[in-house]
Amino acid sequence: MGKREELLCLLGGTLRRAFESAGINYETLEEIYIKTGQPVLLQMNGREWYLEKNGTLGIASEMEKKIGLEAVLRPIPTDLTTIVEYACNYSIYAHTQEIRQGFLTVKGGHRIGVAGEVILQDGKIMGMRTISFLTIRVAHAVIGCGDRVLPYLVHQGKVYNTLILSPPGFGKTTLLRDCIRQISDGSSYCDGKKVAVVDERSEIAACFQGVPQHSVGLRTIVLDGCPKDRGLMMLIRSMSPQVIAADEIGSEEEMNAIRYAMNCGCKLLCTMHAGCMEEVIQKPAIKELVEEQTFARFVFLRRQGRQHFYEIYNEKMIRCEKND
Amino acid sequence: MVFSAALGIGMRWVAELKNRLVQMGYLEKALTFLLSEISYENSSVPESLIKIGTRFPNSFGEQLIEMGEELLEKNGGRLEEIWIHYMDKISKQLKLKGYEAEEILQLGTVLGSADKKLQTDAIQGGLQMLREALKDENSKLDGKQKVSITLSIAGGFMTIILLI
Repeated sequence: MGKREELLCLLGGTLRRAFESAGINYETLEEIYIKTGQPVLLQMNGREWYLEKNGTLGIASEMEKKIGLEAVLRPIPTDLTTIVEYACNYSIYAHTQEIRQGFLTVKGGHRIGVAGEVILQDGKIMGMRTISFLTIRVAHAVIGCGDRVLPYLVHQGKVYNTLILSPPGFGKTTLLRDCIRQISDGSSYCDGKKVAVVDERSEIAACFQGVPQHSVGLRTIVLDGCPKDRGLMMLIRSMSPQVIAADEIGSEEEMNAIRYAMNCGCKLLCTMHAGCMEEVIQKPAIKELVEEQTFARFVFLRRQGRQHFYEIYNEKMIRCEKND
Repeated sequence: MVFSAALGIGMRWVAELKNRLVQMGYLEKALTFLLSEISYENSSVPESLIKIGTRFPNSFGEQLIEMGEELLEKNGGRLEEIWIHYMDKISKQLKLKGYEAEEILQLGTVLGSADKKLQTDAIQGGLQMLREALKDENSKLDGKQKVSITLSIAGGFMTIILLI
């Protein structure tokens, strides 16, 4: 099943028909924004596009300025309900935990961000009453995107504790995934290592019914949907990994788990939201780890259009490489 | 000959009744499995139906599998519609009475929703109804068996008398 089929089978009725007839390049499609009563917006080829009722695509900026938005497709509430039902395999009760966290992972590793009216009980999020905003992030495994970075993360067959940093949507998880795959399978820089992944939000391996939808390597073990702090401990105790990977670290509990993992002889590959080093050290939880020189490599991701650039620093914050 | 034929009709009637009880037993088991799949395994409805269907090596099981597969295809249908379509066929095969069939069809309106308790309660309601119906039919079976044989014999005699 290709990306087209994986995405089309999430849509019902009018939306599906419009998507079927639209000339969408699913390889360059990044995100689909669906809101009740608002135009369907696609992020594709580095541009924004509106989907029209007749199933054609129009460049968003041009339509807004010149043509107007009368012809654009505006979903009705049932269109969004159908997407959620399909994404949950007609079983919303089995995905309440994910909905509470604001996302659903579907076959192919695509992620549906959900937002709407939150149901609160005693200050805790119990679910969502009316889901009126959906963002479908199309999964693209970029095999080999870690090639330029990996030589700086591995030295004499040993992996450095590494933190990958960028603002959201710059490809941190994609880079982390490929590094995991190469370290697990082995490459010219190191032999294959046992890698354990705590995939709290099912983004790295994108497990669907327990099966990773992305290639994460032969020696990789995935603990899916588990909170990172507890997952790290579990994996160290039960799986004896050489390298542990986790996405979007940040809480105090996670930092403690990271310290514990390092004291157990495991190497770490992690990602975090941050645009620059100043933003990193403003986060109290991570500041200490940076000062303690826990991470030996910091990889900053930059992006211009579809081009990615990397800046790699060592533990003393001396730049190792700039790839531009 | 007339006597034997009348007896045969009576016996067939009883066999049909027994068959209905067996079929209702399948449905009762299937609902029990569904309850377990949803409440303990947290499995999705389509996966549960396929899994349960494989436990019944007959047309009943095949239809459950077919329903599960149709749901997985996500061809635009809603769970309620697909459930009603298949369960209507199954209810007719099982010769469920009007209110029994209605209770089973109504399950389609709650299955798959976010409220797990609502679903498990609805399934339990359906199960209770089926269990009561089974108990009732079972208790009547012996009596019906005797009545059918007696009526068959009486019918046979009556036919002979008429023929004479």
